[in-house]
Amino acid sequence: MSLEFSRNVTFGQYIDIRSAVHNLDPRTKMICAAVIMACAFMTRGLISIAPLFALAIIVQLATRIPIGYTLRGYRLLFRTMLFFVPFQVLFYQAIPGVEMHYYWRWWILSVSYEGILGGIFTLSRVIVLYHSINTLMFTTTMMDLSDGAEIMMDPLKKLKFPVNEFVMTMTIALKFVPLLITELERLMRAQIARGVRFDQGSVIARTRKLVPVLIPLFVNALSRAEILIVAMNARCYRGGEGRTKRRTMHATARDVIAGVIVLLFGGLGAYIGRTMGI
Amino acid sequence: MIQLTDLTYDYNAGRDDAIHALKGVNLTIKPGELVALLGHNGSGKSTLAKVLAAVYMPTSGRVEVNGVTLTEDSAYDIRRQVGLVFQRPDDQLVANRVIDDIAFGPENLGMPREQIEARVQAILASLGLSALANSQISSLSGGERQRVAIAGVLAMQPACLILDEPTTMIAPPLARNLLRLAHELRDNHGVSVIHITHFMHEVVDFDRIIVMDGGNVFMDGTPQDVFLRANELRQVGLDVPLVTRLGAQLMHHGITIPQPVLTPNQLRDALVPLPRQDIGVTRPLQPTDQPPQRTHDTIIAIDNVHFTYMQGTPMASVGLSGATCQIGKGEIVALLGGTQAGKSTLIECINGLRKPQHGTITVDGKEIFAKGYDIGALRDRIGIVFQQPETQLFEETVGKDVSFSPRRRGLPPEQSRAIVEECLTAVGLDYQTFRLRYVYALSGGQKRRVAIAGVLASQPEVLILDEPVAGLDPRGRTELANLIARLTKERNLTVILVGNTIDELAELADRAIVMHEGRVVDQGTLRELLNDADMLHGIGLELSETAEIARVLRQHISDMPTNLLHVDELRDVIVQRYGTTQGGTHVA
Repeated sequence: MSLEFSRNVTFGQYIDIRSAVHNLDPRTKMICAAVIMACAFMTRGLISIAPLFALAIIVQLATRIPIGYTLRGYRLLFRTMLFFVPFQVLFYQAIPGVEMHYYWRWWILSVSYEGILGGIFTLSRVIVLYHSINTLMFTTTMMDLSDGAEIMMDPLKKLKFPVNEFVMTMTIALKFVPLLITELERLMRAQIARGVRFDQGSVIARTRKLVPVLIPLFVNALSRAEILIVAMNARCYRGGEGRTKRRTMHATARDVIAGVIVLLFGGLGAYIGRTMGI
Repeated sequence: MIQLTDLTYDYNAGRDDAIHALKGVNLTIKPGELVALLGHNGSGKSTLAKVLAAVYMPTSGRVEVNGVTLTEDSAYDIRRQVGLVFQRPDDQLVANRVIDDIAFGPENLGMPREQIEARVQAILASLGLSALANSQISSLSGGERQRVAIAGVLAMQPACLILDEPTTMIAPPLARNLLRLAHELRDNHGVSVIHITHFMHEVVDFDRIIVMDGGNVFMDGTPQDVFLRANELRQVGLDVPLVTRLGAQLMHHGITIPQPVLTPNQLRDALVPLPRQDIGVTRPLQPTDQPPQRTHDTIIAIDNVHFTYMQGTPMASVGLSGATCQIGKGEIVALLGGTQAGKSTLIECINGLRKPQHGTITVDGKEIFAKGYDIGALRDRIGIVFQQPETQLFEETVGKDVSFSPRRRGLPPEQSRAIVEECLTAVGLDYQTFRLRYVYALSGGQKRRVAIAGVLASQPEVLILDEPVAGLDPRGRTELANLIARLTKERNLTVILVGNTIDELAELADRAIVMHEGRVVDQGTLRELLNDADMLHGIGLELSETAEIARVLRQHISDMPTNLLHVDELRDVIVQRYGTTQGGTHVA
């Protein structure tokens, strides 16, 4: 056990390389991700998802993130899907009017050509959804995401919703995640060195072994939080009111092009899905 | 200009359990002054810093900064004028990117965008951070993070910057960089800097030293004034720098040099013009402290071990690149090296916590990563006290935490109890007094002892201590070093002491292994290694103050040996060369 959580958990990690995708306006990226997801929900089969899949590949290449690293993040997803997809294939319901090609049938279970295609379609859809979110996180810093979110949530200010405070809270919470992960690794290593085996025993026994790790983790996190409060006060933080921002966001021609590409591919998929149902 | 008049501060003010942390402080700090604030724990220096930065409101008395008196209403004005930098930069950084964090303060002040941009760029440039402006803070080194934290405070254009014990937790080279920065801030930005520290040698070239004791100002003057009064300093648990003490002793031996001597360079410059006897290179004066020539059976053998962190990701970084060394049974070894030398990675590999990508580690001749090897049994045999082990305590009471290992191994209660009692006694904590104490109510030094007792309770054959005294104040360091010295002598253990300094801990070792950039670059007794003090210095290893003084003296005194461990040896070596009337030198 090498205990490098951050090595295998790629979700939510920002990869600090400057690619064309990194340089887009965060708002563009958030809207594009939303468009891709909406379009993915409108696809109906392998043909309609194909343009979105192609788009995912183009985006992946444009980010210049090593494909191996991206795939590492899919491990957990694939494992989960390996569990669910067979169910979908086995319980596949014939669509009225479509002729089914069965390889094997028993009671309500079956393996059919259509069922397998359906399974692959579901998997592709999940990949497209996951990839869009994953790419957004890979290529956008927390600060960009939160600034983008703050601007997009601006209308809520009229409803007296404390947008800045909300976004600041989220940002700081997320900032603590890598620190806490490092801390968790450190505490677990210390426990392992004292002879604890986290990989042995029943679920309950394993959970109990986490207590000695979680207690100091929380104690340390709370003391950090206390200092952070003092530090933010000392740096004159008084909430969003009267606060200005150094950063501005400019959509440029690049953002327009990116939007057009996403709309073209996504729209094509959605159109095929809606009109032809394939 | 900062002016404090009859300033008091009570924790739990007005209650029965009130603690009077400041008892009527009167001070004036001029613009552009570089001030050291010294004092042992509980002297009130950190409280003073927090009141100055308007984080705490004074209980009585007055704080005035550039004409503004501190009240609830003016707190934000004062906070803008007096910046506070904390011990651990991670605690005060708010944003993810360098440039965004530096902009945080000015944004809070509501400055126009263009002004913020200009100011942030100027600060980045002046602190040498421009190249890192868009970097993720999580990817920076500790020293860089501290620089960012300071930049963030400077961006508010404060009149005064308070550094609250910033050097306690970091390695000496980083501490030196930070101090250089403090000087630059005064010189280039015209801010006054108040540096709080426990370490005397850091502040010898400051403008002014303020010593706090019991909530009052105890001494206030230039380093020359303050360090001449060594006896008074000792009364309040502080000391003069080692070189100052040496200078006074030399004077006593009839070598006339101006007092006080504050730096090794001053000592060198004072000695060089004096008449000198050339006696050639001498051997160390204590022939008896040759290491015991024990023949050791090898217990741990490390052969060409390579380890890369986050391998196969864009964040990969090399920890070990071909480390090879052996540890003998019953041997006491110092594992030394600067930051990033690979020491911590190596000890984690020894315990099977990290699996090298290449190379072998054998314990008692058996490869520990071989199939079927009982790694659990290995971890029972090798106990590691990690850095800052006190942050890893988890049980409610001391007794429970220390008994964790005996309980886990399923030992009967009487035996477990006996082990806990024995281990607590070994770390200098009385069993009856501390058994039921709450862990979180102990002092930092006591917690660290409890953590060490917890590792001893697993009754290991090999004990590894990773920078056991780091982050403690000088008094805590000395106490813990003495404790470890006793432990290594009394117990028949194989001990590996990991550190970045040739200090009193390293001196306990029979042999030292020096690491640099993931490899073992030198091995031998400390004296052998110290012969090449310049090499050790060059790879970022911190010399003891004694060896460092000797190294500086050798720059002009060619026959000056550097393989000295104790300041008394150094004194005798100098007296041999420069003493006038003394017949024989005595060996302390």
